[in-house]
Amino acid sequence: MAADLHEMLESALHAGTRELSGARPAEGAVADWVQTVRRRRTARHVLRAAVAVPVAAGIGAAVWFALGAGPSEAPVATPPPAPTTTEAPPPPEPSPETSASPEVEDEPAAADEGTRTEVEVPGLPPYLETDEDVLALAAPGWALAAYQVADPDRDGFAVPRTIFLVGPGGERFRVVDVPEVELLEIHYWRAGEPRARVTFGSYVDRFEGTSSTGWLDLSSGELVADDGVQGSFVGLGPGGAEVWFDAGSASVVLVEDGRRREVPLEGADEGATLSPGGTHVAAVRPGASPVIVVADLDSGETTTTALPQDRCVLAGWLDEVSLLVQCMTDNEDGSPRFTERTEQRVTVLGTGQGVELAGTALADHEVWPSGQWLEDGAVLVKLRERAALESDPGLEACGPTVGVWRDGALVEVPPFGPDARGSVGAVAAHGGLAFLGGELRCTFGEDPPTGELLRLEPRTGELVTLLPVIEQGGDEDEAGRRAGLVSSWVLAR
Amino acid sequence: MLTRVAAERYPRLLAFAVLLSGSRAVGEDLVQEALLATFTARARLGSTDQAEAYVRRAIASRYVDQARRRTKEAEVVRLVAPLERHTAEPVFAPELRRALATLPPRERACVVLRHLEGLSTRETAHALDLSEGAVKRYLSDGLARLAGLLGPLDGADEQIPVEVSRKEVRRGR
Repeated sequence: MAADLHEMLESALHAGTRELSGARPAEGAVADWVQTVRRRRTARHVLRAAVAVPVAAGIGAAVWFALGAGPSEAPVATPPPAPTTTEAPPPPEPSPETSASPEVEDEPAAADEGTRTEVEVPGLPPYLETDEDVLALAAPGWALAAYQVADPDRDGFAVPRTIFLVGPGGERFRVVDVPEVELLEIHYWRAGEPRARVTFGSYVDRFEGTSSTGWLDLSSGELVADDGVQGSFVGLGPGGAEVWFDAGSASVVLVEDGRRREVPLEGADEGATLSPGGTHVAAVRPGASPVIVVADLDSGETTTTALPQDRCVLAGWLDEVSLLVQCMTDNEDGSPRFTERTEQRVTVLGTGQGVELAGTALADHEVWPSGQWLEDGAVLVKLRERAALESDPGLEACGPTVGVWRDGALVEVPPFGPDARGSVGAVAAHGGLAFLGGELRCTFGEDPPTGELLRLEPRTGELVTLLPVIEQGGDEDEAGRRAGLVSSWVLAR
Repeated sequence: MLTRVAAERYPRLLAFAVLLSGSRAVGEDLVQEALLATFTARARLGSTDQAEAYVRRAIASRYVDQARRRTKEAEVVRLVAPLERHTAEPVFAPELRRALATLPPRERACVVLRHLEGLSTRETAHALDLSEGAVKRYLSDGLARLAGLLGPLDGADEQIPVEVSRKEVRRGR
């Protein structure tokens, strides 16, 4: 049977995109490119003007549109539309459409949806209006989410704009709108507190590593930067200290009351993950003989555990002393490159330190790092079935979906999102409930986006939408970039 | 838009350039040159996808331009078949990339623009500054060579239409 050359090339491009997903221009390169383009275009305009054509007065605006300038150069954004209250409010729309609702812990006793009005604002999901202090409604396990909307002053592209508070039962409240910012990542929030820890900035900042770490005031929407921390946020550790991971130095940085303490991880720079109790960080040191390095965040002491194959991925913590790990054999230039996938329980602390086979449920799956402990013996594992990856080359670039691995058995989430190609970004768990963030990754050409906040029923794999995606028109090729969707979220502590 | 394209599409642009050139180092140079050329020439691009499409065409045209300019044999070899000589190179799609590496640069660029990007022969000719007849010849030779290495290929003996849009090519598969 003849092979389809277009499919072969497209599949190769997807595989290459995935392999090179961490590739970035050299530091400072993008800013240099922008300057070079500005110089060249100014020179072209001057040359044309010298020949015959008068220089148009709108060069500045055209350059801004073309170059995607940062916030300081951008026109003032139009504020979001004012809420309009529906005349006859129906029962709360945001409630999930499922009968398999779990027992929701920490439901605030004061919640009384019958007295609240549902509000519909174009471009936003419906939410409940209340005279109460919205933040006081929350309890640990509620989600604080940044929702992006299309910005007419950014050529219609979507930027984070509105903060929602979402209960595990699906009730939504609009907290505050944020000022002009292109990127906003929420790291943590303690239920009821007036501010959330965030990183914010522009597209350029993301490249240049100049994003600001600081606080989002949940009353005013004001973003205030403080002394930034190099690295990615891992979680909250002993005594509520912030735990950051710096892959460059392969170390953990703890921040508490402005004081910093560094814990080196002996070269481990892959998949740093915090134990369920927040007492230890584990990461993989790759190489010819890969090991897991675990650091005690209190004492700073580290322990290492050898891994059994060429390459291993931390699927997530199983309990306070062991991790679920997928290992594989590297066939160098072979295709497929990695084979013989095994799943291992790696006990990294205590007297039983060692490695043992944990089952075969993941043998036909590719596992991504950054899964989430759900409860002892159960992990939310980011994964894709190998057969699906091989039969649909486009999935190579889409990222993982998720499954619940429990005592050697796997409950997979059914395909979701447009064309069943939804992928998962952040995952979190609280009180036995699991939450997923659909990720805007698989939006090529005509594909509509994912980017919803979902609750997962861990025993059945059923998904319940808590915050949906809203299409906002425009070019079909631009659906993903123009859509209203969840750009960042956390569960309240 | 340039920063947005660079932020969101760089890995895919680099993968495209590596697929074409066979080398990450050459690919990085091609992506940079193509981004600068595209955004210098075009005051406004309607969307990120549109911008990416233009940048990819620019990558292909610059790749062929480089091959035209280079006369030293060693440099031509670097452009044509660097796969075995760079241990740190990306490893994706090794069989297809080895096969592509056997094609001279113009053949390779024609095959990629026609069969990956879905450009018509006329559009391919325009993008690479070649005649339409030359594009058809390069496509014929290139596809025959690929079929010899990869086995029979759908589309290798097709009657190439002169005007076919990208979407029409995909839907017609």
